[in-house]
Amino acid sequence: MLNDVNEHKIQGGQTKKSLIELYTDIQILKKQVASKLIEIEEEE
Amino acid sequence: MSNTIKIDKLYDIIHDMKDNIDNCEFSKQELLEFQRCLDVLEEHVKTMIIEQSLLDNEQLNKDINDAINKLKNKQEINSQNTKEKDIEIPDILTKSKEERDLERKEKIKEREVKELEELLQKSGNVENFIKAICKEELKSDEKYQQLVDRCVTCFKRNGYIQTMDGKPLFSIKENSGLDFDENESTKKILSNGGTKFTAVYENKPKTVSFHGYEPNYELIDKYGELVIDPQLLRELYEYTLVTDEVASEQSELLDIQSKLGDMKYVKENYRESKFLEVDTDIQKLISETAEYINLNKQDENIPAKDNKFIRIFNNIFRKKQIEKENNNKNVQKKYQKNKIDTIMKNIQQNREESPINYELIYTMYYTLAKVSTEDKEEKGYGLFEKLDKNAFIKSLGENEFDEKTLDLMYTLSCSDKIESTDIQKYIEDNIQSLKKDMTQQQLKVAKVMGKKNDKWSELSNRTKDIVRQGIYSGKDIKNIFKTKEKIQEKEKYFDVEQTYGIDGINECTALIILNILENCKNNREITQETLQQLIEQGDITKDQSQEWQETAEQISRIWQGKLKNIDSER
Repeated sequence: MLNDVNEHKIQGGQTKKSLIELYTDIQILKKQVASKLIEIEEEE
Repeated sequence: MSNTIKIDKLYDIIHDMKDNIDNCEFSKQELLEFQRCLDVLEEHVKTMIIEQSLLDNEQLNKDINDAINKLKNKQEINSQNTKEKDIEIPDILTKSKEERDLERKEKIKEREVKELEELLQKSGNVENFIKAICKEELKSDEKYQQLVDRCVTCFKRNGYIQTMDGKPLFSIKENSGLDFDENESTKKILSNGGTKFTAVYENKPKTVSFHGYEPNYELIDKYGELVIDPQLLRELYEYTLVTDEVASEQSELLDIQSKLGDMKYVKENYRESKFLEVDTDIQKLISETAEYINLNKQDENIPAKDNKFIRIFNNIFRKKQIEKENNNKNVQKKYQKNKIDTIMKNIQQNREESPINYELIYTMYYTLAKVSTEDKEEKGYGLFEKLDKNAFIKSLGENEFDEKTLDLMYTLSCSDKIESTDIQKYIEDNIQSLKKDMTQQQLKVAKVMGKKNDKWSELSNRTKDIVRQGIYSGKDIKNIFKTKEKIQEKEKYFDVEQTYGIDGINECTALIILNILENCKNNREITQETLQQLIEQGDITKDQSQEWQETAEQISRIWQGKLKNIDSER
């Protein structure tokens, strides 16, 4: 899935609300991934 | 796999991930890859939001700058705090876990602000705004939701509508029932990478419609001035008058040409002696009729003083019918009846072929009858009395003969015998007279046509000026959304009937539309010509020219829609 998302461009189809919501969720997810990485680094 | 990922699908994936990340086992490598992937996605989404948002609103830009300043202040405070902490705790290894977490978070913030600043340098306020409103730090700020709302509103407004210099021509009305169609086939990727949507109204796709949209009044006002320009209106009105004049003169010319054609036809037929053949028949008929009347004294008074000559034949015919009833065995009378039928048929046929033929035939028959009667008078009986001109005309009853024809008819009726040269002279005189009339009329038509061309030239130049002004003024539009009162004020301009003394507003606006807006070809030509001049003068670039061209066409459509609405309301 990650590769798919990484390699393919997002085109069209954006609804009026979904872009902003998607952006917000990406932000949250990024935070979560960053925290996970910190945890892993700490464990190491 | 399709190279297009639907945003809804992507949203579901991300949303799902966000809620379930704690339940997933990721290696450090996977997490780093995921992080890169999210960075890429984040950039894509940012770009799309920027491309599809309208953010040239001054108030909005002010809010953006405020938000950015607030973020910068926060960053400064954070960095000061970090420095203070650095002084207090020189050795990072001695810090607690909480302290180290705090420090990492500060670093993340610093990185984000750095990115923001880079973006700030790269692009304008629009991207900064998007960046700023999406920062989680601002979520606690009460302004955050307002900003997001505004952004969404702008996006909503501009997802579909074409813009000019970054401003929409018109936007979707609140509670209009319009919404974006999610169907893949109804959207277009624009050349600038943005997405253009087709709006739907009451579940039906509606690509362009005035209904359901809030017009951008200032822009439309500018074009309204174009349409209601008093000088232009006056010129349009004058042009209409001249056009009517041309039509009237042309119609008269056609009428003369038609009469001339008819007269030439009579001339040709007369030369072929077609009429004279009929004359022989009528002479025989009249002779026989006179004889018949002479033999039946009780019928002496018919139909000498009756109206139209044609009634003579009708009466005779009626008499013949009565006679037929009385004496069916009379073969000679039967022959006469058949003869009358044939002649009546001929007369009717000639009458249908040409009124002028009929006129001439009538004249000839009448004269023949009179001459014949005078001949008979010598023998003691007569069909007609001697008539003066007034009595002669009266004897014709209601008729549509002109003065010239009546003169001829009377002259002929006074003659002792029919002179073929009289008829020929009459025809020739008529042809010459009509030719003269035609030449005069052709001159008149040429004169009014010249006047019309001059008027069109003035009108065309004025229109070009106004279109140019409209295009220039379109550049300076600052405020996009205005109150409804503005358009209501504009309605007053439509009351040109009183202001400019032009009858019939709908006719007037229809004329304008016909000449300037609705007539796409002319409008487009005028606009293209103007834009070309502007490019040559270095006032605008080719790209701007294209954009303005589209704008002009868009405005045309708005006005057409508007006029339709006005018409239907009336």
